[in-house]
Amino acid sequence: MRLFRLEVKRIMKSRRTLILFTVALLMSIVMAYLPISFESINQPGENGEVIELDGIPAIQFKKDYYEKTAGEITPQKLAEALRTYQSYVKEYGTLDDVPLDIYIENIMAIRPMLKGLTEAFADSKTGMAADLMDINPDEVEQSFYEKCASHLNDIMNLEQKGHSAAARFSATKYSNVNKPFLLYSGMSRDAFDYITLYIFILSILCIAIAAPIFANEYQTGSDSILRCTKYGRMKLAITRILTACCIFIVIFVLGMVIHLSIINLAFGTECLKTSFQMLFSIINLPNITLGQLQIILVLAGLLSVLASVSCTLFLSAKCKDSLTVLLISIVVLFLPMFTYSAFGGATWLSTILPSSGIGMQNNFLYQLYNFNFLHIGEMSFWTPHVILITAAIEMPVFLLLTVRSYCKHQTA
Amino acid sequence: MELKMEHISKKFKDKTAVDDISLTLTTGVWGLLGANGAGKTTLMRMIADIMTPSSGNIYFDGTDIHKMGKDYRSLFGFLPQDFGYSRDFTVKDYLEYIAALKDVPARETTKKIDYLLNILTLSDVKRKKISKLSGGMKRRVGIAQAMLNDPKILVMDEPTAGLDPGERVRFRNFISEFSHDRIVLISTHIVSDIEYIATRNAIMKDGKIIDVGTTDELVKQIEGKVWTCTIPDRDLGQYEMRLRIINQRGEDNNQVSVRYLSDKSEIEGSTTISPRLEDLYLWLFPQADYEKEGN
Repeated sequence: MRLFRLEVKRIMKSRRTLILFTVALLMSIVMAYLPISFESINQPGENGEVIELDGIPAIQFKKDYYEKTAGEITPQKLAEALRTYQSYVKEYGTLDDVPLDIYIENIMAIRPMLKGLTEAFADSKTGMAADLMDINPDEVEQSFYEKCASHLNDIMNLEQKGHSAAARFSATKYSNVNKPFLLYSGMSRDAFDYITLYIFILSILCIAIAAPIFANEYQTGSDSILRCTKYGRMKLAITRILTACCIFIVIFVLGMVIHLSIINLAFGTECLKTSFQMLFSIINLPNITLGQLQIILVLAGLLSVLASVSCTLFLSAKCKDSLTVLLISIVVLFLPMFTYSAFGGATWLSTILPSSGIGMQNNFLYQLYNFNFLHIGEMSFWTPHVILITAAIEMPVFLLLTVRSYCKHQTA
Repeated sequence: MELKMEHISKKFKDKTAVDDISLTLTTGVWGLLGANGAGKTTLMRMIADIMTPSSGNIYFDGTDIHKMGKDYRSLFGFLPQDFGYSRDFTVKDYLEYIAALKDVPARETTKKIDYLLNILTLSDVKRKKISKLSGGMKRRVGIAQAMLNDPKILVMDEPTAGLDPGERVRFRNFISEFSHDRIVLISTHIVSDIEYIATRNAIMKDGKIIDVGTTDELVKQIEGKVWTCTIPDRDLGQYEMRLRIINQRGEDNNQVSVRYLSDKSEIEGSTTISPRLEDLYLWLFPQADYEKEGN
């Protein structure tokens, strides 16, 4: 415990750590502010002019405005909304021709609900979204959720042709999703994108803190003294790893708490009850609300960050200078992103690396709402599961290798 | 108490740094002398168990030091040639950290640190960052860390490098007192630092121990080979060309007093004088040798 305390003191007294720690906290505020600032809405003014609301006023307006349509998305409610929409569009010709005041008063409030309909009634052969005007409200009333399951089946046939295990998995998982879906106004997809982006930034900062932990000692030659002491080998290596992981967990949790507190304060907490399917795709598999999604993103992000940092610690115990460690770690961090883009989708390489859950298109959130499966023979694996399992395996493996490498290191 | 090296060698890709050394260190101060590249640092690293010998073993009281692991390290203190430290450490923080690694009880740590800082005249800079200290001060911090656990075996590679004459005298006295019932091995280029305190010396050349003995025993081999005389200073250049002049001092009347090494008198009027360890060092390692790059 004494060594642990002194190690924490050593790391936290480092100017580099303090700067990176401050940057992490500042970025949590900046990254929370950005999606709030992106919120915008137009409303008609008293003299017919259009008033644009941005940021918090826009969010507040939307919350009040959408309150009447919030709640369970029952087929009846959907059918009624569709009838309203179709009647106005029929009256004015196209949606663009509907006057702004009429649009805001009668249509805008029901648009988020209708978004799922175009998906559910998409063409079964091509997967192309349906036009709202072509959908029969009676059919919606009778079989909206059955249509959703059927559309999922169509998508699986289109995207996972020949992989019946993937289709079976999806069908089972989707049957467990709570219905009817819930919809409450507030949080945008941008807010979730910025959570994942912030996790990406945190991982870069944590890697920058972790890179010199062992390598710097080799570089300065101070390990010659440390490894001659009674506890200078395995105990020191384990203590350093524990200290580093504790510091990363604190930075991560603190950063995320600040980030999510700002977001939830701005968007309100009621929207966290919204079903995952209502913000992303109605055929998504996770049976979670947006509040649960926040928690899952934080936990999965933490796991990926710790796995990435473990890899960096291993490199730090193996390489002789911290710059090399930093460069290799950054390459490992970016590799899933590059391979995902290069191969146009999920591959084993983009999914099994420690940082696979972090990044842009490859990140854990995208994997939750995309239908990416990896296959071995007849078996199919959903990419979010692969990301979590491999990160959970890699973390202890890299940490054990770190201890081994440090203990076996020979002074040059 | 003894530290026994049995046929230890260390081979690197293209060089044998330590070549089949067998040596038994007993209690007292041991001086390890040798030119750059002789293999002193490599030997010390193997004694510190931070470098594995290519062959051979080192035993402490009959037990292989590598197998002793932390039991050996708890008896051990080491100051490497290049004293490395984390840039953000203050002297106090660094010594507290090392004390914890050496398992010095927490209640004794402050007392021990204060004692060593006082002895090594570092008390005033206790709260300063090590990176801000002068070279000599850094070296003394290195010495302090090596002694924190009252080691039974203390190995110091060039401990006096960067110390001023006064600090070197204090260091010598401190080590003399400290070395009772302990094995202290010191490598240095400054022969005078160990000449009067070393119980025994080991001389290394090209990876081998070429001689071991007390200072008196060792210098005997060059008895009658150290000469002194006075010459006109205009002749100095000419003598420097053909003699191994190891010291020269200007005298009155354009004369120079020279001290040189030779099997026989080379200058008329030369008289032999008592050899010192430094004379032996220079006899064994002429300039060409100690200009080689380090190991």
